[in-house]
Amino acid sequence: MSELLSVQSSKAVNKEAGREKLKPHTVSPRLAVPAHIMRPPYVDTGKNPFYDEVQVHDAESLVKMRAACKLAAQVLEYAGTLVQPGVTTDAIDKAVHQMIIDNGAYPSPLTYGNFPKSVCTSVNECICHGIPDSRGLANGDIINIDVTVYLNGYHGDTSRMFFVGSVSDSARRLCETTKQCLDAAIMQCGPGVPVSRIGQVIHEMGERAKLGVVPNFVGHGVGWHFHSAPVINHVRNREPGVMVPGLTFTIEPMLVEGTTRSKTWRDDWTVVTADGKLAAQYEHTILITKGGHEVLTVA
Amino acid sequence: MKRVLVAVKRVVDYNARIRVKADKSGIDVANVKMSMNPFCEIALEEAVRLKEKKLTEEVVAVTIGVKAAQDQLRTALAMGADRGIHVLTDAELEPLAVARLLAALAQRDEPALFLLGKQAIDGDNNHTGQMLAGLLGWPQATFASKVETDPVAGTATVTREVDGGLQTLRLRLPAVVTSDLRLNEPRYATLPNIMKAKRKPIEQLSPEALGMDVPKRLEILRVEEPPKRKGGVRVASVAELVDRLHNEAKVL
Repeated sequence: MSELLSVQSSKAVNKEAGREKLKPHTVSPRLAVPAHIMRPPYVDTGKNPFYDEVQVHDAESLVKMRAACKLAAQVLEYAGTLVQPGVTTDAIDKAVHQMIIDNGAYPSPLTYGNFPKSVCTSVNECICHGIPDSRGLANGDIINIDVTVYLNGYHGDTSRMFFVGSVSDSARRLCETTKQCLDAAIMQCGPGVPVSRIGQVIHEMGERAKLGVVPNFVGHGVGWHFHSAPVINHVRNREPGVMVPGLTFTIEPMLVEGTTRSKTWRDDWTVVTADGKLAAQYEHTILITKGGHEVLTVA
Repeated sequence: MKRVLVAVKRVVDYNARIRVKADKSGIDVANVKMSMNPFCEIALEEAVRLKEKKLTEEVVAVTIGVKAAQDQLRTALAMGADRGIHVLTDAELEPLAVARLLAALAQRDEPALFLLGKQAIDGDNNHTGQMLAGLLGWPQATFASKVETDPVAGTATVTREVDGGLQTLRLRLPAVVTSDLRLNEPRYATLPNIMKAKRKPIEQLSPEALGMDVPKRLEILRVEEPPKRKGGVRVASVAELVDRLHNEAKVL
């Protein structure tokens, strides 16, 4: 019965772009994680903690952090190879989940604040936190896959856009500009740089490209905690805070074609643009070094 | 300063499309998105900036109204207020009743500065701040585009936007200041701050607990849409324009 309903609802046409409006589909049952794999402390508590302390690594901690980030990047690369028309986001989740546990890691999103799956899949007008479900990818879709893994006590967090079949010029431009914003922000990072520089750079680039930058979802410190200070605004801001060597955090700008206002679905996670226009996001975990910065989430 | 109080109001979102009710008694707000009044956001942002400059120890957000107005208090907490006060009432709110309630809170909690938006975008009255100052006997500076406080001297220097330009006043604290558009650009409530705001305390009380009632003193006779604008007419020549202005519009 629910499948019948979802077929009918997926026929609803989004007047904005002639593509189907994104609707919730069926979420499959929870996947198991082998008992020997180390779980982060929030698992099965329903909590989504955000810690007020920044995370600065010493040499020993950095070794483990690099390993977690490298795995996250490898998983993301693999996930991208699965993106084809007709493939469901649930199938991508299953495959990503398997690769993560095969590598002895825990998929960080799973049960964080009751998130039901192991990866976030955000299609078209979904800004972030999309839940993998039975919706098949359609030609012309753009999808963000956001991978976070917890390996030996450390989280590595990265995401990027993938195209399904052939996408429109405006969708391509949106994604390319978002990537450029991330890269430009990363270039600015180094010891002594104010954290607010990131938002300044991204916001200005977005404005020049006549694209909106989503203000209320932010990058964050990452390491032994999934989410912590510093808060990385992607829009112009006056947050205090200066980068120091050993600091690790994510930069994850979300750019939109239309309004930056968003709506959250009843599943309490999926965030979509209020006007149904496209959204794109790219994310890396960055380390501040004595001489500058290093992108950790590279395969 | 020990404390700055900021009043925030739940109003129809400025982007929402509204319709007048069929019986002309008011605006149909059922299922319409509600948000914090934009001028209240600006007042709250100013208060949070004062705290960041260490000019006040705490920022307290206060709202008056229905249970759902708690959402606006949570937004205020997410923007940086330390705690909230919610005066619960389902009664229709008029500026004088609101000002009296806020005055009672000001007398109870003794803030050095009471910040409000200059007006709410539903009523557009531009009364409450002024009435509040009058009831308390406090100095007031309305339409503020710049606020500087000197807690040691116990004064605030406020630049006001007036018809002729800008006017600067120095007020002895405690004082009432209402915000105008150019005072600041409010920050966004980011997701981590929204989560943290859930743990900040909100005090709930009734008007009676403050020794007040919320009487209806104003009667709205009718609410109407403005008359529909007629389309323009193109004329072929200046002579025709003059002719029409003389004979049809009868303005020449």
